[in-house]
This record gives sequence, structure tokens and C-alpha cells, in this order.
Amino acid sequence: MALFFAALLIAASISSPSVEAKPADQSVNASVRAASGAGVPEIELNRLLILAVDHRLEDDDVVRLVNVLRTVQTENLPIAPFMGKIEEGLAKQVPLNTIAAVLGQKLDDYRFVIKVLTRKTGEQEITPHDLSRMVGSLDSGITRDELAQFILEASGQDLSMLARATEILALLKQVRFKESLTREIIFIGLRNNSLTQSWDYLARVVATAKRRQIPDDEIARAARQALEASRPFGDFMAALGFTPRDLRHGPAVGRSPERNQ
Amino acid sequence: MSRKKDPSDQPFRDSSAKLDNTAYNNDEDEELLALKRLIYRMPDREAPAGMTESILSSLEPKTVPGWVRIYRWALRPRTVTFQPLKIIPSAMVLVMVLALALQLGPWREEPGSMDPRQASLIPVTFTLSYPEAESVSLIGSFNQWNPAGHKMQQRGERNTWVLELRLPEGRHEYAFLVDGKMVVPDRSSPFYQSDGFGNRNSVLFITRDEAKNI
Repeated sequence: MALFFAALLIAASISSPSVEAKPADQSVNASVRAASGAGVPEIELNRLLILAVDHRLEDDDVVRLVNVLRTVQTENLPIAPFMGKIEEGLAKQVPLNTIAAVLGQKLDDYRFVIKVLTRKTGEQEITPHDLSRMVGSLDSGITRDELAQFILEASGQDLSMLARATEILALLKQVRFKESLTREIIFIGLRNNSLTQSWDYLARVVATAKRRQIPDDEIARAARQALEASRPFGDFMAALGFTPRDLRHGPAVGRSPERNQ
Repeated sequence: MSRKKDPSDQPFRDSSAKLDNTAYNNDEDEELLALKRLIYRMPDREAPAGMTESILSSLEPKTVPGWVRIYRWALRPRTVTFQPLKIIPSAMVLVMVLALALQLGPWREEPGSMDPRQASLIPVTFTLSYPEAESVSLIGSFNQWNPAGHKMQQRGERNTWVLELRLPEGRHEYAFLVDGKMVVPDRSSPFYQSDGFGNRNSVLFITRDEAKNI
């Protein structure tokens, strides 16, 4: 039912301006048309309007959210993280003012990261996924200064690898791995172009190793050796003495809950 | 052609004879009888050559196209009669053939096979121990943070809330929504991310290798 009303609303907003509509409706219509004209995908606008119906948002609030999406689109930033944050905030029953403030903060984080990257690599393009990853590291425990310094210090021009590196930096900080060792490992990987996709799971391995009381130095040595020789991630795991099965903690992945208990 | 006999020469023995006999007794038929005699006394003429063949050929049925015959056959009304008791064996045979075809046919499902989209997903079981909760939902980046989408089930006496999902590879943020309002992170997850609203989301990394126990 909500989908039906939202579809009606967006259809009315985009295709036929209503002369007799109330002023508030007009502003929703106008903002939706402006967002659509700016290039915000209709599917995202639909999602937003469905949320507005489901959560009974005021027209002014809908306009605020639509305008955020328009700004995001105008600045050529990925829409999905912002849309996700709106959905998350509404699901958690966060007041709309707070949601709007968080969206503003997120927008600012994106602008900051883009500015730092431009200083480092010029106009080199970065994928939305990698950009979001770098911005996400700011929500994962590292400050803007730390991030900027790290990006500027890091060698190599592969932005995908750099995004992975920033995420690893933040996650290893969460498990209290020695920061000097973290930087050493990451910089070796960036220098040798060996910090490939399978190293996405480095933080998980380190967390497991630490739970098993393996010293940080020993973990770092195994990682260093694998990255310097551009060996597969599996070699690093084997050097620490375990297989992917050993990474299992948190939600049970690939097994039934009985075995998890 | 054989010559016809004169009805005046001999009496008729067939039904026309009876008619003729009665005609003898009827003055009104005298004239008719005279005419009949005249006809029988007329000389016979031979039929023109080829007349028989021409008549027979004109009587040969015309060839009708196959589709017309099928069309006519399809249009023709029919009455089907059957005895229910006699149908049972046929129905049983039909059911057996269908069952066999489903079991052995090329469209049968391979053991362990599933929808390719489902096959690319990895089973994940989320658990939360929260005895005081009335209800628990799992919200996350994988379900657009929709609490209605993934309600957890209470299992056993241990008051554990459980939900099994199939998720794609990669990084996922999630949290538990207790009683529809309280956000609770997963304590068993070593990684987290601030949600900006004053809570932490748990972070889950899923790899296919793990599911395969490599």
C-alpha cells in the first residue's frame, strides 16, 4: 500500500505539476522534481518517499531529506550511503533533526576525503565503493588528521589498495594491534602492490590471532614476509597456524546455529 | 443392354405387377397401360460410347485438403462415454509416468542444487542472548535497516534469539533492535562502526572460502 502511494506521489511530482496542490505539497513536489532533474535516480527517490509514508514524515522533513540527496548527487558523491543512513536513522527511531545533522556530517566527511585525495593524486578518479570505504574509516576509530596523514604518507597510486589500507588501519586500531606494526605492514603492502583483495580479511585474522595470545610482533612478521614476497593471503594464515575455519567468531558463517553454541 | 419384356406378354410378379393387376380392373388406368405397352415396344437404342465412364468419373469424390478434413473432424460433435472404474488403471499409469519423468527427467533438481542467486549467498546465523527482550529484530545494511524484515526467533531455555540468513560476500553493518526501540550491538563481533546517532553498529565480513571450510 505504501509503495502504491509513494509511486503515485513520485509520479505526480515528476510528471504533472498540480496547480491546485497545497503549498506544502508543492514544496515536496518541487524538491522531488529538482532532485530528479539533478540526476538523483528515481529508485532512490521512490525509496525515500516510501519511507516518508511509512514513518509519516512531515512534508518539511521530506523536503530536507530530498534536498540532501540532491546535494549528494550534484557533488557527484555516492547516493547509497546517504540513503542507507536515512533508512538506518528512521529504523532506529532517531529524530529527524539528528538524522539531518548526521547526513550533513557525512557529506562533510566525503568532501574532506576527496580534498585529501585530490592533494595526493590530483584528479584521479576513485570508485564510489573505495571512497565510501575511506570515509567509513572515519566512523571506525581514526580521526580526520590520522586519515589525512596516512593517505599523504602512503606510497602507491592504487586508490583501491589505499582504501583497503585505510580500512585495515581503522580495524586494527579497534583490536588494539600495535599501530607502528600496522603502518609497517600496510606500507609494505602498498609499496609492493601486494595488498590485494584477499587482504580485506587481515583484521579478522589479527583479531583471531590476538585472541589466541599470539604476540603482535609474531603476527606482524608473518604478514611482512607474505606481503614482501607477494605471497597469497593463505600463506600468511598458514604461517600463524590456522585456516579460515579458525576465523569463526561473531555470527556463525556457513554453519547452523547449533554448532555455534 | 438387354431388351425389356412387354408387360402385355406376361403378368408382373413384383410389386408393379400387383399395380398392373389392379390396373386391369380399373378403367382409369387403361390409358396408362396403353402408354406403357407403347414404351416397351419402342426399339432399344445403344448408349453413346464412353457414357458409362463419363458418368462414373463424375461420381468420383473430390480430394479434400488434409487441414480441411482435420478442421471438419475437430468441429464434429462427439459424445464420449466412459466407465469410472475403467479409468482408474489408466490414471494410475499416467501418474506413475509423470512421477518417473519428474524423477529422472533432465529438469530434475540436482542434489544440493538451488537458485543460482541463492547459491551465491552464504548462510550466516546471528544469535543474541537477551532474556528480557519481548522481541528482537535484526537490522543491517543487507536489509535496508528494515526491522520488519528480519524478526529473530527465541530458541531453547537459554533465551537465545536466533536468525539464520543467506548473505552475499563482503562487509555488512548490523545491529539488533530490541523491543522495537533499543539498539544493541553484537558483542561477539570484534569490529564495529559508529552509526553517528550515538550507537555502534557491528561489522561482519563474509568470505566464501569460510563457508567452504577451505
